[in-house]
Amino acid sequence: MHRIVRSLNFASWQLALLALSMVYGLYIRQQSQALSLELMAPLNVWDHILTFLLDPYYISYLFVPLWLCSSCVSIQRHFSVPALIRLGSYRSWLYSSTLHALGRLVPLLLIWLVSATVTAAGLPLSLDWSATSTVRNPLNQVLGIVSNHGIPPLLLVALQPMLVGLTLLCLHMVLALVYLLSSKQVVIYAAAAALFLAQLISFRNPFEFAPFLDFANFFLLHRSFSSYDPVALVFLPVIAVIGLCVAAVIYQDRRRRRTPWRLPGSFSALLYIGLCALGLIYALAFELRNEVGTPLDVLFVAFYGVSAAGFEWNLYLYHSIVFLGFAYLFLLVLENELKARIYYVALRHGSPTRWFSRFILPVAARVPLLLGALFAGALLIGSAGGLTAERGALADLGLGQGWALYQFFVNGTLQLLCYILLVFVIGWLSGRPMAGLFALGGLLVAGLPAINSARLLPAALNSLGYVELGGQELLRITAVLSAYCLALLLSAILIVKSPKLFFNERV
Amino acid sequence: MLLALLALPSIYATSISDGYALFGPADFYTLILSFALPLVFPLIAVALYALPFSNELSHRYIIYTRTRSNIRQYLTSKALANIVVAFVAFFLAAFIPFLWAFIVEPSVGVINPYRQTMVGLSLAELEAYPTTVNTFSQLLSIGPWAYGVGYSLWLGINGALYASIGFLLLLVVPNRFVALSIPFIGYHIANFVFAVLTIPQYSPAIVFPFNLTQFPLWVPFVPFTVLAVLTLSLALYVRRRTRELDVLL
Repeated sequence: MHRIVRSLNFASWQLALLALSMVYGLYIRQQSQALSLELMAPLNVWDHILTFLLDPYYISYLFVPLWLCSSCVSIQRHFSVPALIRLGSYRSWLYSSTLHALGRLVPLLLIWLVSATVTAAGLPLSLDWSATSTVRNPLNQVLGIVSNHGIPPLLLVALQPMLVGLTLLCLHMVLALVYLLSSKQVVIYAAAAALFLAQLISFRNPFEFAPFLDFANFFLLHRSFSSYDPVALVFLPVIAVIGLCVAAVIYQDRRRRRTPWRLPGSFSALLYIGLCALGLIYALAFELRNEVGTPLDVLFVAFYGVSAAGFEWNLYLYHSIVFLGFAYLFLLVLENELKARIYYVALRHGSPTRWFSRFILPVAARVPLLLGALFAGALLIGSAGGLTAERGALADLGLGQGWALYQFFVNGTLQLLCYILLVFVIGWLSGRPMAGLFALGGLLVAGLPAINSARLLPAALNSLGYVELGGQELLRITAVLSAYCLALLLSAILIVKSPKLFFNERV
Repeated sequence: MLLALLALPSIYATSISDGYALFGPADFYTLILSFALPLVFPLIAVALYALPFSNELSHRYIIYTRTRSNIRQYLTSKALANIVVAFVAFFLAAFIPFLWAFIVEPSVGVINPYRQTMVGLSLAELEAYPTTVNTFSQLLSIGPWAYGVGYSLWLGINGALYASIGFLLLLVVPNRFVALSIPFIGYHIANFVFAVLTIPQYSPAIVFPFNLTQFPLWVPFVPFTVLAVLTLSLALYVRRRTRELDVLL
């Protein structure tokens, strides 16, 4: 805080800026008065202040270039080896640089607000919009737009500097990131010039097709009003860009510490979640094409998998990606344990059995969580997509929704547990995770209805396509899956109990 | 044993052929090939040579080898062997079913006679029908051998490509399991994502275009070229950095 306060003592260029703003403010006041004469309506203090604050020329030709230039200088001055060593990481450097930028920003905004208020002296005070500002007239485009949204002028006077300030900070962070990645003077000045040109172009020709690419939306509230509804949404893209900058810097920090090319665990998990969501959206699109459907139908289509009659390629693929993909993620964790350090791990846990329970139970607990999340996601995407029909595909099957949910949750849990235990047993017995991957490939083939016509192999038995076979068959599937689970659990426990199998020579 | 494995799909498809309405050897051929192979294709491609090769890395065999021979030459010969093995295996995987469906089976007559009529199609249209089934069956208009050899070449080249990706990733990714699983996982993810985007014909995994409608013959070569260029650049990267690769140290 003291840094901000210290930088508030005005430098001579700030006084020059204040003087220039005052002159420009007087010029704007003359124009407002001319407009009021033409429209034959009285002015008040807000007309002048807001016209000044929303003046595109002042922002585009004075504020932004000044800011970009001073940002470039400040970033270059700050980015030094001693500073990086003192701060410890790129992230802390970015934060400190942004804090410094805030110290430069506050006086600038103060100059802007003060010159707008001072040059408004003498105009009638009021809390509401004046008669001039509410007139819809081609001459009165700026105030005509902002005054007709039911927002009091005082709030707008607060919102506009906030928006401009946040956008300027965001630009500073982007420039800092550019310099951090390139560490070249020419690159950062080129980036600043490109940003300046982009905002100039956007202020002259709005990109209506992509409001988040339109710079002027983030500088001028009257532009944001026409692109974002409610107008508060205009802050979201700016905050998103700030978040991206921070994420990029954190990524850089991590990359410095780790060897490149390693696939981080969080990356595969993120990819998995993304694919799950993509499949649900695909199911929604499928339902929307049919023009009937309930939110629960999204779940039904997404996890249809295979049926006794056959299979649709993409649905089976999605089903496999979700359920066998979960087993693959488990395999990635298992691979870590399969390395030679299991001796030490088992020692630390006291006994292999205790290690096994601590290893497998958290994974098993995630199974119902995953199913619950998929269920919630399907309902959410279904209702967000506007599926509200009374009767859907599920109702046409003549079976209650209860059986579909039974198949999804009960058989789904058992099926996933089967996959995990099978991968564990095969992976551990062979000592190689690749064997587990081949097991997954085998399961992928075994799930095809042509091979699994008797439904005795534990593969893709949780497909919602099997719901149409009736409740009796679903109970039989539960029995089959439970038997497999029990057998696999017993073999897993046998492996863990037997030192010869558990500690077999690892590669 | 390898021959038995290669013949297995043909035998299996023959045994289940009664349940399908087949209109000629081309349909029968599609039935054989589109069965299980598309699901595990990259897994097999990697298992043929890259998996045994990964043991050389994990047993540190290669580390002792590099003191005695030129490591770059050694890796190049291994990569070439990998390509040849995968190409031959997948060429045969498509060619043996072709021989069975088009040459041997018609003269032996194991499966039920093919259907001679199709609702809505005249006799002349039925004769042209096999050429319209999928992208590669356009080659049937030249002759059955063009189709058989052409598709076998395509599958062989793709098998070699996927095997090479697995092989090269082994040298670049420190985790051998992840390296060997990327072709398999990536293949299925790419297939799914491109299907969702409604452009399945441009998926880099469009090796088996049997469940799609017909496209011009150049279409499968677009994603193939992209994938091949990526693989080539990976190969160049490995070649230029052979001496510094972490996995070989």
